[in-house]
Amino acid sequence: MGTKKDIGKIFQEKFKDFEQAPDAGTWDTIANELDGNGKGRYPLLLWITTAVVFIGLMGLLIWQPWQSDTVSPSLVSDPELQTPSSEITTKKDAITTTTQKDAQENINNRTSTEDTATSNTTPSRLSDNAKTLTDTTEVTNQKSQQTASTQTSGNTVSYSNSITEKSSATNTLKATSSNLGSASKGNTKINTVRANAGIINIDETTIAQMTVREQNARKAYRAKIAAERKAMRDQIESDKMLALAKRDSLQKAEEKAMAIAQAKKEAEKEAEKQSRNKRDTPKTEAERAEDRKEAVTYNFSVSTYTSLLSYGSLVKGSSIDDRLVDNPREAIATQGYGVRLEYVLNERSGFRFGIGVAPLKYRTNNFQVLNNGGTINVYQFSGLTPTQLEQGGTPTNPQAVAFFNDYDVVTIEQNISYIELPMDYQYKLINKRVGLSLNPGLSIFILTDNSVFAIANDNTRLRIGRETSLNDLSFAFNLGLGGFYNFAKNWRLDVEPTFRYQLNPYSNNLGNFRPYYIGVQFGATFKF
Amino acid sequence: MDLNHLIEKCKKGDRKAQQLVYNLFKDKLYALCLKYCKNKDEAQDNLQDSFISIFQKINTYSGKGSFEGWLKRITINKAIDRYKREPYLEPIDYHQVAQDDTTIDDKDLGIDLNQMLLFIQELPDRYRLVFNMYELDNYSHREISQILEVSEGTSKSNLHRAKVILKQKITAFMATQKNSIANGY
Repeated sequence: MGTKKDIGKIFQEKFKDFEQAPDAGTWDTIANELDGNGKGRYPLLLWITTAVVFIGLMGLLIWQPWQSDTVSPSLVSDPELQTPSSEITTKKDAITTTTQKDAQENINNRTSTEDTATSNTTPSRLSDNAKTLTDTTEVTNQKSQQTASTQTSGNTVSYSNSITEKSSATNTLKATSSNLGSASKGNTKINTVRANAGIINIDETTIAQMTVREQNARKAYRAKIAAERKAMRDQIESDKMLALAKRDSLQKAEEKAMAIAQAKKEAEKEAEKQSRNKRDTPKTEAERAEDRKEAVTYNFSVSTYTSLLSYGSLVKGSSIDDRLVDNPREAIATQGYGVRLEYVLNERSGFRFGIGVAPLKYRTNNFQVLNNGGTINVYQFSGLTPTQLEQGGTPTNPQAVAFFNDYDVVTIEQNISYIELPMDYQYKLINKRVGLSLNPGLSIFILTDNSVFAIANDNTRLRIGRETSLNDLSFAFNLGLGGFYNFAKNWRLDVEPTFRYQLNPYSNNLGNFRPYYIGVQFGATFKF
Repeated sequence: MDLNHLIEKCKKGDRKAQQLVYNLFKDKLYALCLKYCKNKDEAQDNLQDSFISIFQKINTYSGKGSFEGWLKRITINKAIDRYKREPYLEPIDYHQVAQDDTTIDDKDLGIDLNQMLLFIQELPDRYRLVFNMYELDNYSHREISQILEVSEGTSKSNLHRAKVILKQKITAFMATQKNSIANGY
């Protein structure tokens, strides 16, 4: 006894190196197909098949074999069975008006009549029998026509009925034939009847032929019905298979759709889970590095800023008059604002261009006012272009006279305002999320306000004039130390202390005044 | 001329190169068709359809995998397409089938290869496809279930049933042969 092996293994071993040559002409067929000769092979076959089926169906319709299967047409076509047309017409009309049931009853009635005729073989009876035969033929013909119409509806049960009806009709015919036969054999009067009646001429041979024909027709009918039943069964089976296949297909489609919906649902859940995890989980160092890189990688930025400014001088002096040199001075904080555009050269450096407003204030305290016969010393400052003043220092404005009469010690306040156009080179010392930059550069100052006020202790103010030698256009050296925080990919906060030293503020610097101002800018920047 | 060169020529539509490729692989692919199809005629048709498809799609062959494997996949797919859509009824009681033994004594191995091929061809379409794919062409049940659009369980039961039928056929065949010998035929 050998060892047991799995069937699959056995076949694997057997078919391991299995090869077989196809038919010799296969390549030619393939080549033809590839050349396009075989294009439409299947559609052509389909067309040919369709054409053959169509022609076959047309032939069947023209030939109408179901008509020849019935007994009646052959009987009617037999010249010996022909009755005068007027009689046939009359009978036909009569039968046409009856129902199928009536016709069957009619046949039965006729048969019984024929039985009677057998015993009384008188010419009149025979004549009646002949008529009855003709009637029966007509009835059968009607049946045949009905059967034909039933056939087209494809009802097999109707076929059976038709056969039964035809059988009864055939039996009637047989009975009639038999009766007629016996009448012929037994009594020579039949010939006389035949001659006298002149309606129908039936002899034994004809009846025998009719019987054989009838039997053949019946056989053919049975065969046909059997074939059609089989075809119908096959069709039902085929329809059933198709329906089952369709059901399978629909079930599969439904399962597939459900699987897809389920998969989608799970994918959504998974995505939600991942998203939740992502929110809950701290960023990795790589992610942070990526964020940082994104935050410091841009080409342009636009900043708006506001700044706190404080005006002062590097040396002791006054731009208004030498007499003020030793007086205490006070820087007044002011607020400026502006916008700035940055163009990034590389990761570390860039150029910045801006425009801003820089209002500045500077006070010299404790100036002793002297009113000498209407001539007030305030109006005699060498660097001042007084307003509302007559020649010799006497103010024309009564309010001014009253002011200096009331207050003998005042503070001199200079109000200077510039539009500044800074241009900086920015070098980022630290370029990360929080960074630091050094921003040297130059600014252009355009003078927009130049006023000098006298301010009393109670803060009463009087404008006394303007500084004479302030240039309308001047330049300054800038140096800023910028700190910034990249809080988003496109946004940054800035804080930048700035020192601006004015290079040529005066056309004639009387008191060696060297002004500067310090500002601290606070701003927000949009990077892109 | 090496195979890659031939393939390149086939991609350009060179008929001679196509014929050379055909001659190189026709026997293997025809054997494959014989296993997957019901009979020789259908195998012949399937072979023709497969080669036509191969030469029409050869531009999609990237050259990364085995060319023979690519040809076999196309041929198998053609055969599957031929039978997959036909109505299929599962007449098997799975529990009953699961109990059937699918092993056979290897003394019964002396059956002619063509006879064994006939046994395969006589299997119901689905069983034949599954048996061939799993046992002879190393597809997994997962792959089979995806290709034939059935569940993995169905694939497994089809395979098992195919083996049971094959075993029955082999056993019956051997019994007939023994009787013939005993009767002196």
